[in-house]
Amino acid sequence: MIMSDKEKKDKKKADKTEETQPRVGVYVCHCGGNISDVVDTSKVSKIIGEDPNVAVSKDFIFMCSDPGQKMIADDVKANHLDHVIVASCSPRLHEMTFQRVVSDAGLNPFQYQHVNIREQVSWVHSHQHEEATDKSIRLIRGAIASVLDQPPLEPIKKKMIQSAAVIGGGVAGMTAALDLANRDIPVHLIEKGPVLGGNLLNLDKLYPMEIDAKSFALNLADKVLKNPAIYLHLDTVVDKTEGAIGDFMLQLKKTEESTVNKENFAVSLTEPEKNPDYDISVLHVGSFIMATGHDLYEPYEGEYGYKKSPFVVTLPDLIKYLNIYRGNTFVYKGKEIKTVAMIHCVGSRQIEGVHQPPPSGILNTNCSRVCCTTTLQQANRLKSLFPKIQIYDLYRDIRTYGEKEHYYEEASKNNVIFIKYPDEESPEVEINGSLKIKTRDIITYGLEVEMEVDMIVLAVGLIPRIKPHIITDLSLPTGNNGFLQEAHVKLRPVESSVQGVFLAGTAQGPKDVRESTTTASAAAAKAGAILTKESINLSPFVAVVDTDKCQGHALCVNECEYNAITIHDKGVGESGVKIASVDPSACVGCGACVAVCPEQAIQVQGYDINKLEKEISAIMLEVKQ
Amino acid sequence: MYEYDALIVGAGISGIQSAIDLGDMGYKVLMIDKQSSIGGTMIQLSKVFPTLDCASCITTPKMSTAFHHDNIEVRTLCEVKHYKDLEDGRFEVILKQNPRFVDMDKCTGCNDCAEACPVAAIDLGYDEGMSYKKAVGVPFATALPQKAALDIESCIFCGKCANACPTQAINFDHREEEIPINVGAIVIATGFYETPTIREKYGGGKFKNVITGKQMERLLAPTGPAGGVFRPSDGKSPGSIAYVQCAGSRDATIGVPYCSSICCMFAIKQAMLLSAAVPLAEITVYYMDIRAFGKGYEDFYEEAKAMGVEFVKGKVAQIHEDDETKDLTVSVEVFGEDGGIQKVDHDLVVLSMGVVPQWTADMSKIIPVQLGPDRFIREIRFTEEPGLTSIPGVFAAGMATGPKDIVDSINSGSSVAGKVALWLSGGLREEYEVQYIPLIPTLGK
Repeated sequence: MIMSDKEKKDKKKADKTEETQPRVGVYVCHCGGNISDVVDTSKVSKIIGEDPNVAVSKDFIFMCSDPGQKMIADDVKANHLDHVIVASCSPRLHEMTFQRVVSDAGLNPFQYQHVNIREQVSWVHSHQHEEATDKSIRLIRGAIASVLDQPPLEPIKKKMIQSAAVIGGGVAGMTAALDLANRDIPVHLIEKGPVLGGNLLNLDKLYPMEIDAKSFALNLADKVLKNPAIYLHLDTVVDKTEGAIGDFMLQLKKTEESTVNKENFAVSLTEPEKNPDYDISVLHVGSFIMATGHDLYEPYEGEYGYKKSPFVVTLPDLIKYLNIYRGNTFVYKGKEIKTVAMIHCVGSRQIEGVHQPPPSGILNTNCSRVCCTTTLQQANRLKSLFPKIQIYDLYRDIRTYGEKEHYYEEASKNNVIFIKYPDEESPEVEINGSLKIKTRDIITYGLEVEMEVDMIVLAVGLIPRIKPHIITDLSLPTGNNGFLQEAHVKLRPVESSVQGVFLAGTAQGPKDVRESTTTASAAAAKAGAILTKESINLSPFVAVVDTDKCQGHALCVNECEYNAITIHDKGVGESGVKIASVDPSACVGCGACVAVCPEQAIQVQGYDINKLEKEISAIMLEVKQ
Repeated sequence: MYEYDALIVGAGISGIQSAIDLGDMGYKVLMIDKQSSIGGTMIQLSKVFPTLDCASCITTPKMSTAFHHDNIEVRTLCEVKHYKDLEDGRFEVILKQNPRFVDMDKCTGCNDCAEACPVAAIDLGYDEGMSYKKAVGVPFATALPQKAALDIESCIFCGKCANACPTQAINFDHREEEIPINVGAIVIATGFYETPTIREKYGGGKFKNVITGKQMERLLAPTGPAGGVFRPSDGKSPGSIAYVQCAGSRDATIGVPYCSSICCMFAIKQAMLLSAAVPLAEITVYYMDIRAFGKGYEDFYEEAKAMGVEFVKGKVAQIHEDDETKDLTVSVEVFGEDGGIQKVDHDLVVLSMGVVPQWTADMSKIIPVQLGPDRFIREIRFTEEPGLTSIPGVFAAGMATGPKDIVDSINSGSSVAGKVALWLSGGLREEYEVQYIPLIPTLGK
């Protein structure tokens, strides 16, 4: 058959349509009303369905549920889809969920694209229904334009160094190290101080089992020392951190000789005799756990009379004193203490305009979780040691949750007098020879009360530690209040968003000892699951350098927050010519380097500038009603 | 005899988390649940604090991951019947597989059976008594397995479902079966119920417009029975809603002396959701202490105050119901400057009931784990290694060991998975030799 040129061209076009017309599946999630209450999801799916590249366009109440996932998998097979787009929540939540679905259905997982129409549309435009619907359509069109050009990618395989580091030798650190070591994973336990035990060493009895904190610490430390898979590094800090999951490099540095009197602690706590590698200064580990703990809030001079009177003390100071005091009457600094006032929420639950921020400048709006129970535990302890002592407890809310309620009951039975002061009106302390407290009591309908006391105990809160190097080196995210931030509070509660880094204990936020051991074991379980694998798969969306174009300006090196780019000689015989190269396991694919390269020599693989331009053009197109 | 590394009893959020973590570590897991779908309590909830993520967005993917996991087998309508400690580190368990009356292999989940079923029984399960349900059908939209189940209690044996079923999956011949298994470890993750006793002074369960926190969850959930929040007595939109905190905890007289840990936060969350669902309603929370102790919870509480939710420190003494209008009057001692005994009218009252364990003393006759003074499963190393029960090799996770919010339940599930892995690899044996004298004093004595 002879065909005219035009016929040939048409035939070619028809063949092309038949053979290579992309078949995209688009799924619009209602998120159970989270999205569909604002965005007209059925309209979105209908309009998107008119796009010739789209073979299937559907909307559903919960795409992430099993029926939703099954719908996608079935469509991929039945309709021979080659790309899938889900428009739903933030990719942080479920991008991986859907990548797994399309992968199980036989597609390359990187030919999946996630569009966020919840955080970026329905939640921020909750009163603009039409505009929100319009924006959803545009964003999905952008994704279609972008995904069409998406080549199949393979995950980057990386060898896993099957050993771990735990940073911090407190209760969380020791527990995590033991859990890992007991599963035969070698662990480096790094503690900046001369002894193990951390904040435990300042405590009295651990509620609610009333276990002695020091013997608890000794018991744990003893197990750590006896465990052949744990390499202990005392008086050591991590000076510099590089690398990424599979191979983190931790450079260790000895701290200056500490002033802590080691005699106070069992010898076994300080003897690093079994460590042949003790002088190691550079570690390579596949993963590590941050168990760096917390600091205690230090009241400013004059806060409730602190440092103005020797009889205004913090709760930890009182505990330390009672731990060594052996008298029949309560004598402190030469004075018999007959009345004590305990003030809650010092340095916690801070309110703007009411409280003075700590030196960091950031108000600690958090509740510190442990101080209510500890305060009442110590009130009961005072009452049992010195039955005639009078105790006033000045609180905002008593937060003895769970079984800890017992301490509140017992304190009430011990005739501790509870005074609920208003949130916005802290009690006033006058020092005039004696200590006088003035406040209003909500329980007695706002009555002004005044009391003279011999001692004031401040229940100070837990605050984040000043950022160690490791946090800044690896850009580990911290939350509003400065504690280390988990990747997702419920989906990944003990993982940092930096892969391979796990969180345990109070480094993440206030916790009691039981909660610290729970998170430590959870973190160890998660870390253990990856550390027992020989290699890991990493996202292929990383920067790649075009070695022909790169001129070695190194602008990208400075721009990279993750230290993923280095500059080196181009090769043998080309000395003097420098080029950049990327460590794909450290690169997060953020694209910051792409923007600064004057030669356009660096691109994010699978997400190059052409693709981005197409995506933007598609977003800018008017939505026809 | 089937063999598994671990048996997980209870497929709520902590059981599922344990199963996934163990499965990911390469262990063979059997997870059972007595309900006809996995998902536990969390799948019933609306949104969750402090992020206001929808509960389904967290639960359903985890359900799906566990259900389709190569190393995890799931059985629903299944309970533990007999248990024997072989004392060599393994256990022999006989499971009771309750009849589903639907052949799982044949059922396609089309739900034609439910369409045909003429029964309308009060749904005391998923919808907490707030709606009616058919005697047969897929339990709920996101249920797993997506298979129908027939409730023999409410079935009238009319046979319409069997006729309607395109695959002849309905089978009235199903009988209870016994399944013997051999496992290396057991995790009890049986969760909680709301405190069942509603006190007489709060209507004793007879006032129509007095509902529980979980019932409000169903009204607020996108999958809820009414597509909105209404007054049960007349279906009207409530103009004034009150929360009574500590209605079923911190009270030795009803056997719940402990604090339930979650009610303050779910009341705050519901109040925030209600401000959106019923924008004109005034919402008052009567509380003893607001216990917003978790990470980010205090900010969440402040946010609710800023949205106009009224928090009143006061103990609700009594609720009175008007015989005709079914309107409610709350008698409360309000603390604070203009405090005193007050009577306040409300259209709808929500009781924050608190929690009691689903695992009972009777169940401890089957698997003889010791209970603590609060009747939750006792952890022998409560502080140092949470999750270890009085029987070596038997673990407990989530609410089974005490009140926990979702974050703490998930962490508990993961940490117990780690302990199970240690146990299975021969570790942990010596831990059981260290016994601390149980020092948690009984509350309210």
